[in-house]
Amino acid sequence: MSVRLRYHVIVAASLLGACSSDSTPSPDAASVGTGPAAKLKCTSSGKNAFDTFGAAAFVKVNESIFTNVNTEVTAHGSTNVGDSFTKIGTGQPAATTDDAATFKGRLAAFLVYVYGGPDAITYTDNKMYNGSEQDMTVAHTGLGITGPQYDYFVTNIVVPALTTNGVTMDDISSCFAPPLLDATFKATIVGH
Amino acid sequence: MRWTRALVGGLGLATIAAVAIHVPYFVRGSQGGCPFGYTKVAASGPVHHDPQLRGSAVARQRPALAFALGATSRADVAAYAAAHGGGACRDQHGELECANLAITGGPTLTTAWFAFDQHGVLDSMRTVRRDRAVAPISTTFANLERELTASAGEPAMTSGSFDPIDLARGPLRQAAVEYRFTNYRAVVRATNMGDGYALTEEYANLVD
Repeated sequence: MSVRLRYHVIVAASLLGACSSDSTPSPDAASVGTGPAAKLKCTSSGKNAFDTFGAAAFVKVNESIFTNVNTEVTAHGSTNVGDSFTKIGTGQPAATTDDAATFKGRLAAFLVYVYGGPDAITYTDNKMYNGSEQDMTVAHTGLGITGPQYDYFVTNIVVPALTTNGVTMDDISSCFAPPLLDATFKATIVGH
Repeated sequence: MRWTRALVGGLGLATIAAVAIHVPYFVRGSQGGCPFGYTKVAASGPVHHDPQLRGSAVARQRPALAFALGATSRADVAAYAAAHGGGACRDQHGELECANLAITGGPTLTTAWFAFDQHGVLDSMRTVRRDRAVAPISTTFANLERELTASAGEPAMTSGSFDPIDLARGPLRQAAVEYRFTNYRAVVRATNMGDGYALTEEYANLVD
């Protein structure tokens, strides 16, 4: 087990300019990443995604993911993103018991952790969320997520969330895509 | 592997959270507003009827592959599926999910989801096609863009390159084209999925 490094990234909702240098974390922050994509280098910078784009960008991408899913769910129902919505509020799986703000903070923390940021963050709601300790495998059991649903989610939710916030195709390919397209990962998500 | 477990949890969280977070407000008819400020969704009808997602011009035609928005019924789709290799479709929360539908002029639809309005006719459809080779996806994207532009009108936005060389440059490279009209919306995306290529399409009727 790696040493748990807790680093507070306080990201204000008002932060704009996702790809500006203003959002780039300090050099100290660059050294804390232990996530699976921490060693992936973005084409544009030679650094990992978190060190390249910074906390503000991750907030914006996180926001965009929710925006895109909002459009998806309300426009076309649940079929393209799984049937987990029917379980909301039931606590089955356990993740569905979290409130909206908690979901959002946990997702942001996970993204930050995976792409080379700290293990834990303080999100815009001033609450701390841990990205490295999230193990939601159980949460997929019974959701019946299919391969096409997964493909649809990645291509129509995640990629647009990145591109609309200024991430180039080169950087998406080099430092964002590998974890998302990892076969082991996908196989664990799909078909349960 | 630790990181794989984390990824699993994370994307699961992403999927569940993203879906879950809004469902109570729309599917369950909550009295509250969306916590993220997405409360401008029409009180009735899907979000693609929201003025913000409409264009300013009227589409000359509203193509949707082999189907007709505002006309094709659930039975029509089922019949098409039976006749084109799709076999039985399944109902999912009021929508119809069909697999392996053969479509003229491109790869088979791996999966298609059909949503119907209160009159029982096609309101929107979404599709995913998969192919291991870039050429069929790139060519189909190009053909669709050409056909949609010719029949509906100019796209509202385009991004990325559907050139097979560009798409093949790396994972999650994507070309997209979106059409927005007062009565019609279509989005087509071609994406490098690492282990192959995906073409996703959306066609929506915006007529209230």
